Amino acid sequence: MSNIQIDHIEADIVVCGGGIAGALAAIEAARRGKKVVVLERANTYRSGSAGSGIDHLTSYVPPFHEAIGYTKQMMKDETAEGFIGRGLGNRRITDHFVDVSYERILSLEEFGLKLRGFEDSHLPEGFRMVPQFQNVPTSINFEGRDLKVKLTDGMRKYGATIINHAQVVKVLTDAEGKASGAVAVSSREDLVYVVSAPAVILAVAGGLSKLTFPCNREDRHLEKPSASGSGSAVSLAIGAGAQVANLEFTLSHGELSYMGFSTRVGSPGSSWWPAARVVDDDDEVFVKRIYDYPVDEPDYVKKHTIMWKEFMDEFYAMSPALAHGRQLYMDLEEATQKEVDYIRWTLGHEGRCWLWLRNLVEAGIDLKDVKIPYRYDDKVSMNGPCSGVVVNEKTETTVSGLFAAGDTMGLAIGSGPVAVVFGIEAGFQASNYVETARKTDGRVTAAEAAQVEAVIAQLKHFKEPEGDRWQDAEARIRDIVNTFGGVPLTDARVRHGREQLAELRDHLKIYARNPHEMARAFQVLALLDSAEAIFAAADYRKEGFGPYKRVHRFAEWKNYDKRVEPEKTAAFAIYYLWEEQRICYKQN
Amino acid sequence: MATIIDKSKCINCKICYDRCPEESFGLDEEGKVYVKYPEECWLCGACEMDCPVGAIRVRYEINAGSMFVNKKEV
Repeated sequence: MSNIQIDHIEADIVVCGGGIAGALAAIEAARRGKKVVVLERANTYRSGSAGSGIDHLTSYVPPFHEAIGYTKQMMKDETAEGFIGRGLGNRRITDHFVDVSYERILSLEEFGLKLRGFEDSHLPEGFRMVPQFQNVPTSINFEGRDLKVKLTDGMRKYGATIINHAQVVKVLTDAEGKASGAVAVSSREDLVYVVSAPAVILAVAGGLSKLTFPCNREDRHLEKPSASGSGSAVSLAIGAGAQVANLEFTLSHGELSYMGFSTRVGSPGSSWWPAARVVDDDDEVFVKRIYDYPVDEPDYVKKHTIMWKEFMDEFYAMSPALAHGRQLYMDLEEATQKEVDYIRWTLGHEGRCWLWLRNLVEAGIDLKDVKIPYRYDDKVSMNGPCSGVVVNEKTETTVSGLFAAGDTMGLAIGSGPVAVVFGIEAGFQASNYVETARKTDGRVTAAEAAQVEAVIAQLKHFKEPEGDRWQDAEARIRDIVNTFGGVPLTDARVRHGREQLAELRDHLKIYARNPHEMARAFQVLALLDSAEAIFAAADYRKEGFGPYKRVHRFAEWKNYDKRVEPEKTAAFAIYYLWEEQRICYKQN
Repeated sequence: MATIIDKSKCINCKICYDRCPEESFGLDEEGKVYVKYPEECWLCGACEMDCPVGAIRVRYEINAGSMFVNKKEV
């Protein structure tokens, strides 16, 4: 079809995805004089998980942590084995994160972000910190509403080329199987970008929220999670021959939620400022609010650890309570006005919370005057600790020349701070790699041409005016996953899931009426790849792990003893649903 | 529809069209911005944040947003 234009570009490094990780990788490589091209499906100004803001980043913070006697080793152990790492990751990655997080997260100050120096702070250097993933406060609250705007300006300042509205659909590999570029489809015109580069950084859609019902449960009937959760990373990595890990650990049942801010207890936001308590219908306190200790409190770490454990135990009990019919509410009754102001400040910087807050203000609602009801959801949801593309601490994948950073990384804990730390790492490592990598002569080899041709053929197929809407195809994938993707994954369910997905692939014909729908159609293909990979991974795994128990027959399920690996239980919500099932068995 | 453009204020700078992470805006035949794919908006508020003239408002549709329970009995 002659009306599809091909734009061929050469670069040293092509970065797939311009979220936090991609933007920082691009800045680091461009700073080192490399010719960098960033392919971004929307616009780097507001794209990715931090598109409309991020209010917290976890880090080891020496001036605070050394003052309270919390060592790097303590944080390393907790990160690897605690409830974020769950023993699923690569210890070298999680250790490296703790080692370099402070310096790299503070490097964001160069772009005009305020991370410390808050006058009301009682912590060294004026940090505002809250507990979140560790037994002591490790999350820095900061003013990150415009982080992506600032990083985009940073990329431009250092000379990286940004191509927006370009959905990456293929990582190119040369005859030797090394990464050699990327292909993207424009969502604005009949245009395909072919970028030749000896190094490729995968920093695209690490999430898979599109695979299940949207994380924002309140609007799940609209079925509109972000394209950031389209699973492109897994699809692209597999397509390039790279290994992926822990994919089958992505599916679980049960979640407590309200609005999009699921499983939050201490405050209506993403970092946990524990000023809120949880009460039931009769205002009986179910989760007590907690108070921080002063920095010079004797035995700070020990006391905080005990307090935090008690708090988390109460929090973990919420899901089964909701499942058993006890209605729970978030309640800021005991919060001071200063704390409510603090919460409003963080909300103003955290992702979609800004809009939530704005709507709240407009409706004349004072957070102190209301209770916010939680809802229990018994749907398959995504919990992907350490799942994704296999990398080492240098962000190298198992394919030469292919690097992966941010949520894309498997064997790492994921989320914003990992995107910062390993985005910079990927830019640095890829820059080193291209110093020694063979320079391409700019021509597309026969092996690469065949891969581009396959993309064009798919594109033409989507243009043929017959078939389903992309939304309906996506809904079908989600339906299969929600039917067979729950826990426990039995032999029968895994087989049914794989068969249903294979049948869908055989018959799938999406009709894309314009470039916008074309990009969406490719996102659906990526989602299908990811779904198949998850069921295949479950099929190949011989042993179950924690609540992600793989059993051959459903009857085996009741024999699982949670005490075997209590520290390694993955998603806490499902942990309790599992426990509930066991109770049911006992009743039977 | 969640995204509402006040046509009397809009200067058609196309920032919303360019930056929306879900690309929910389109251009009509006269090149003017409108909400082309309202069902693809995921309520991030970026368009409202970045509109230079305050012409955009993102409201929660009736099935979105949180529920609030009044503590004080009326």
